[in-house]
Amino acid sequence: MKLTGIVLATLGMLVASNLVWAASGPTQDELNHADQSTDWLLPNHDYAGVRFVDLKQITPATAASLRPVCIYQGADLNRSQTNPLVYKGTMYITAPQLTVALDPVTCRVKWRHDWKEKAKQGNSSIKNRGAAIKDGKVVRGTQDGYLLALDADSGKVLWEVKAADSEKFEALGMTPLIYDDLVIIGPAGSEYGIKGWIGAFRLSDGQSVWRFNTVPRDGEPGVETWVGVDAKLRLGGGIWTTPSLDAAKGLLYVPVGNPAPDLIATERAGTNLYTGAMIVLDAHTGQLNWYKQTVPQDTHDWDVPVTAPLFTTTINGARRDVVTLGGKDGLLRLLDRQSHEEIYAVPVTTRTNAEVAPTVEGVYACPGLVGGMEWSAPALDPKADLMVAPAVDWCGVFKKDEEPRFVAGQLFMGGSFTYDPIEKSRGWLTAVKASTGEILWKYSSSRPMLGAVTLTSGNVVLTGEVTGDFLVLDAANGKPVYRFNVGGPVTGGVISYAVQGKQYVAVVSGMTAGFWLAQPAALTVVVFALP
Amino acid sequence: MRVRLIARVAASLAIALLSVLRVLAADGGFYSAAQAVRGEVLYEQYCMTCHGAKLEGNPAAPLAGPVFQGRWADGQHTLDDLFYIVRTQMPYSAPGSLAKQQYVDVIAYVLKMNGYEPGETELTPIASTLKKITLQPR
Repeated sequence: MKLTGIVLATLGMLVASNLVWAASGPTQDELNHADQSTDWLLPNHDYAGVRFVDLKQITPATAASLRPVCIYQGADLNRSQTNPLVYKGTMYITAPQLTVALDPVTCRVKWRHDWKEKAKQGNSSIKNRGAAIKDGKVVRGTQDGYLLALDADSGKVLWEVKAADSEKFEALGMTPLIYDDLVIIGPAGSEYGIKGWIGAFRLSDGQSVWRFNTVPRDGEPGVETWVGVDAKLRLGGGIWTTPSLDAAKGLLYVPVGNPAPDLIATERAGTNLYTGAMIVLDAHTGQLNWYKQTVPQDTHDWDVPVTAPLFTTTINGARRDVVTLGGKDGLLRLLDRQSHEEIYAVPVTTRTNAEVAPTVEGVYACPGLVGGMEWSAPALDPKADLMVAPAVDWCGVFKKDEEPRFVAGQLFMGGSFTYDPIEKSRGWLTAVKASTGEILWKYSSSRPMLGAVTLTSGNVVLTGEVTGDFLVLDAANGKPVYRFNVGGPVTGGVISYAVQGKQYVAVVSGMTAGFWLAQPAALTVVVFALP
Repeated sequence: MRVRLIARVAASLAIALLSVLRVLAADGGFYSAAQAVRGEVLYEQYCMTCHGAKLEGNPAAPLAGPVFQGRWADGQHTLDDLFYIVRTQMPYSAPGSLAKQQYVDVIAYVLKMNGYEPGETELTPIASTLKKITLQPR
């Protein structure tokens, strides 16, 4: 009898210590309520992509006492843009061929999985922005078009499917989104001449469920918006970043990239749907609900990388469900999710000659080829009605080619961009009143702002800079209250979570693409906490 | 009859010429050693930061090894395609800022680093010439 009691008690302790729960979660219910979690379950924290954490130990008053508590060095020299996830005592990070499970307090490695490319050639220009977790599975894409599900406890491969066509230079770099039994993902690489799509694959076995073509094929709606272009050269519409999800309605808000060739539209008259747009899809069927194209017939490589956060706010006394739309065109927009009305469009970087198409002689314009808003979404404090958006400010000269040429597998730009000198590059964090777009404060960085931004109930902004600085700002006025150089450019995730009641911040740093002209560095995660 | 004979001779000559070009492509010899040295200097100045000291390609695409071979020595691309991409897109921060001769010098160095042997003549930035050269896998 006593023995039975001891066994039961031991089992109970195992359950309580998350060993069993971690193997099976997070559940759909946990993901639905990720906004209230002090774990970090989704790339932008929750389905709505709010990036707000209810943790208040780190404040403008206490931030100066922050200290690094552990460091993970990945020895990976690919671009480090991964957005860590934290669930019940484990952190998951990725690199193009690497998936690692870490202890989020000690940074000790629990397991590591190395992907050996199987396809003839992956598109090595597309890096990796993170994994998704649900039901004991860690799911991620690869450069050679595979979608993998790893066991969350061991890192062993549960299934792998060839989800994208690497022969056509499709690469899966975005962080997938998991909803019910569906993994939502699509290939990036508009510049490499892909024909974009986003699709759903079964979480249970990886089999394809639906696919929506972001560049319509013959006979599909929207094809009439590509005039004078041969079907083979109807290109672009890559997916680089994770959709947000209205889980109550089952609607995906998908950010879609530019058409190709990027900088010349001579042979693709029309608006070129659904490039440079947000498309709203039924998550279960992939059916188009509505769309908003911000850059019809784009000639500047001005993708829409941001379709978050979704939130509900009061405008002129009326409650309205809204979606935030951020573009490389440098505008932060708010749209009504019912009427689709544009409530505001606020510039968050310099805009000059934004409406002028490139010429053979060249046109000086802002934003430049690299935006604008890039892959990191704004963060929102709903109670404070505060939204903080990162942006790049780096102008230059756009030129179109006299004779653009499509060379399979190569950049299909149709022109070129000459950057201003590095001394003229900079970045912004812009804080706006979320309901109106009124600018509250701005933080100016000496380099483009690319890292993730997180807000907390401690009234701080957590982010990082290309200079390598992890940065804590006072959310009330944008003044820095803590700065620590983590040793490499911060262009990936910056998250906050709690373990056993203690607040932590994890900061990803590492290599950037060469054109950012930042110092080289290997993948590193530095975890901070108060003493 | 005479016309037919001339046509046959011309066809034979064309086939022979193509064969020579294929051999040329297979064995290299379409750039000079001195040109590759010039290209190396330019590479270190304009390309190495992104493509790596050994052309291994981090953070940008590799310019040597299987990835480069897979993309450019696939029998479908000519050196003029490579020249077009390089002269219109590179260096990434200031595309088109080098002279055409400098671009082909860099290409000569890239070819050397991919195992293509130098020859007596230099690679020239003439499209009609470059279009006749198709890289063979090394």
